[in-house]
Order: sequence, then structure tokens, then C-alpha cells
Amino acid sequence: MATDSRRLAVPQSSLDPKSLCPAKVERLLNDEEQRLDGRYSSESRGIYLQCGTVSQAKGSCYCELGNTKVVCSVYGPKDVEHYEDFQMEGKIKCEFKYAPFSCSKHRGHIPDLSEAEISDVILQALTASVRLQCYPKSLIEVFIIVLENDGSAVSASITAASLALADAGIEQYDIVTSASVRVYGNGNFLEDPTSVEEYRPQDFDSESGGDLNHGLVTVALLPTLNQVCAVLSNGHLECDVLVETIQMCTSLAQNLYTAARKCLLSSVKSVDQNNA
Amino acid sequence: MSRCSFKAWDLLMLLFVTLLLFCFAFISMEHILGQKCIPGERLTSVESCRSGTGTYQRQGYIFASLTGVVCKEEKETDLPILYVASRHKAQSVPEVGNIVTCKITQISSRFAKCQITAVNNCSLAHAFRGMIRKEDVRSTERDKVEIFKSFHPGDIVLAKVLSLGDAQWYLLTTAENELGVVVAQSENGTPLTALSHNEMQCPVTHVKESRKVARPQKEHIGFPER
Repeated sequence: MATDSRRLAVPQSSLDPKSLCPAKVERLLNDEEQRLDGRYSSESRGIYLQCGTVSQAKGSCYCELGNTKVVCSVYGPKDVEHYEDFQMEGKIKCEFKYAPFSCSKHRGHIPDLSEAEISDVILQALTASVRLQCYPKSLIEVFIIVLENDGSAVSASITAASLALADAGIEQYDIVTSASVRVYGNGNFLEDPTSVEEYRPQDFDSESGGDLNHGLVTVALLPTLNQVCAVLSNGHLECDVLVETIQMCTSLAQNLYTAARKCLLSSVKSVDQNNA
Repeated sequence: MSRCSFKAWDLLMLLFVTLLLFCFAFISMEHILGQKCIPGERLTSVESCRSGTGTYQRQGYIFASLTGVVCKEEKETDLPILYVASRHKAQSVPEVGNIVTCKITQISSRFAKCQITAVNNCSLAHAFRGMIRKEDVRSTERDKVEIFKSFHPGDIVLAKVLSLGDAQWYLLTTAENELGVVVAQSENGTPLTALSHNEMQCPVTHVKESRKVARPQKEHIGFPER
């Protein structure tokens, strides 16, 4: 039988054994208002940020949000492709990818539709912050890989991408920070959700509990300008609930600014030491 | 009586606050110099400084747009220029008027195509495509220029950016004495030595080859920083 040496000799698709078990309906909040990992609903996980982790890239950032691990690398500015039209503004190419082993379900090597959608949201957030008129005819490439997905991967990616751009010496109006909130009916807002807590449409019927408001909202913020530059909302949310959730995300993202600033300043210090 | 003293006290406070604000406005700029900053940080007002590289103006204030250290360049006639010194090279894309170092990749009867590898002595991580048209090779007798007598593939050329060109090519010019071929190889692979403004000679075979030779300039001699 002919084999292709370039491919892995494993099945193309695999199933998580848990998915074969009957679905267990878990309540995300217990009677003491605690979540499955012991946090209260208004409690975020710790964040870890480090710049300059990918040595080949011009700029890079590693972000850890609980168990969620994201690496972002930035290349460029480089020449645009042959077939592009002339433009005085630069262009950003953003690629978001879950590593095949990052989720409970195996992910393909080729970006699928959901990943393409997330790429667009991240691109939208970054386009607002980068001073594209400084880079005519050029292309800036941003690659984001999720090494482990334990919820809030999109917000971790946006923060990491902005810090990687700043690390690469790309001119920006402001850095971008981002946070997620899960709306869990009856006025419950779970800040910084894990992968179990993230919104899935199939959960909707089983746990609606009378309130129709279920969903996941991610907001990207320019913290010093105090402007929202991207919003991603999944699920069913009433208007006033959505507004409240966005405000909650905004204040959470604002809290990340100190950590992001500290990370960037420490990267400047390490450079000075290298020169000396 | 008490009311009157209250007013006087108010006035004193107002004076004090104004004085404090004045002091702050003067001190604030000195205070930020040498400090590390990140994109989006407010540095100072536009009245005290002009905005330089790595900064931008918004609502009467200068903000940082790069991560680095805040520096000031004094000017005798004008306000000082505030800029952010980053660990990356200041120049990352060619701009009109920059001197670029490029390598000729392809020649035809009308133009020479090249790869821009450095801008203003800063090497670029990714090469940009450039083009020197026949009429931009030299400033005199432009209609008699022949590309194959001016450049050969593989030559290292100093040129000036004429315009951003079209989607694909930066338009370059060598129409100055200081611009043109700086490094070239003869047909047997030895580096040529310059004889005159339009000739180079092989030190081994003594064959003369014609090139648009750059006049050696002190400030252009040297290697791009790595």
C-alpha cells in the first residue's frame, strides 16, 4: 500500500472519549455562588505576559491566562504581494490558529471557518491601534497560535498580538487589551470564563432556567484612549444586558493595562542590559 | 469679618494652584526625559515640544507610539524635538529622498530592477523591490544612457528614492555624482576597481568595463549596521 511519508500516520480525525458519554448537565455556579474551579463569578484568573519569546520573529509575546496559553509572533513590515494594488496605507495580515492538540477535540492543520472569523475580529482590533499610514505599500504579518485552550483564548490573543506589535517596533496609537465575560442567565456574569464555562448553543435549552440571556462577550479596548475597538458577542443577549456586559468587559480590560505596561517596560530593560 | 478672610484664603489657594500648575508644566517635560514609555502614553503638550519619530499628536498633546526611552533633541531656533528611541532601527520602510543600498537583479534596455536591502545605513529584515529607469541613471545626456553600460546583475548600487512608485516597485534614481555602482564583480568574479565616473577595471585581467560609478563619499563608506 502506498503511504505518504509527509503525512502523520494517524487518523485524520479523532474523537474525545468524553463526547461518547451521555452529556452531563453541570451547573456552572454552585449554591455558594462558586464556579467549578472555585472562583467567584467576579474573579479573574491571573495573567502572565512575556515579550520576545520567539527569536526568529521581529516581535513576539507569550500570554498565559490560567491554563490558556497563546503565542503571537509579528513579522514585517515587508513588501506586499505582486498582485496587490498601490496603497498609501500599510496592511495587516492576521492568522489565528488553534494548535491541533490545544482543544479537547482535535483541530485540523488548515484554519477552519471559526478560526477565520476570530482572525477577522483580531484584525479589526489591531487595525484601530496600528498607525498604518507610517507603512505605505507594506505588509505586517501577525501569527497567533493557541497552545492550550482553556477559555478566553480570543481575548488572550488580542492582548498578546498588541504586545507583540509593540515589541516589534510597529507604531501604535495605543496598546490593545481585551477581556471576556460569560452571561449565564438570571443576572450571572462569569468573568474570564474557562473552556467549560464558554457558551455553547446546545447548552441553551438545558440550562436556560427561565432567563433567555446566555452568551459570551469579548471586548477589545484601547486603554489610555478609553475606546472600544472590537466586540465579539455570541449567543442570545438582550440589549441592556449586552450593554452591561460590554461595560464589565471594558473595566476588566482596563485592569489588564498595568500588567501589559509592566511586561513591555521589562522588555525595554532587558534590551538595555544586552547592549551594556 | 470671617467671610472676608474666607475670600482672601480662597484667592491665596487659587494663586497657589496656578503657580503649581505653571511649575508642573515646566518641570513635566524634564521629568519624562530618559523615562521608558509604551505606545499610548502621554508625554507632554505640543507647546513645549515638537513631535519626532515614535510619537504622535492628539488633542494638543504628544503621545508615544513606540516602546522605548523618551529623548529630546535641542534646536537653536525652534522648539526641541521629542522622540522615542526604540531598540529597533528607526527606519523600517524606504521613504522618498532616502539613500538606499540595493542589489541589481535584472536589467533590460529600459530599466534595471533591484532589491533594496538597506535604507540610510539601516539594513532591512525583508528586501523591497526597486526599479531604476533609463532616464534616472544620470543627470546629463539622459537620452544617451544605455542600461547595460551602467549596471550589471549583482552590482551593489547606492541610489535615492525618487517616489514610492506603483504597487510593485519603488522608483530609484542614481542621477547624482555620489550615487551609482559601489561594488561590482568582473566577468571572472574578481571585485572591480573604479577608474572614472563611467569605467571600472578588473585587477586580474585588466579588462575595462563600463558602469555608472559612484564617487566615494566619506559618509556613505561603511557597512550597514547589523
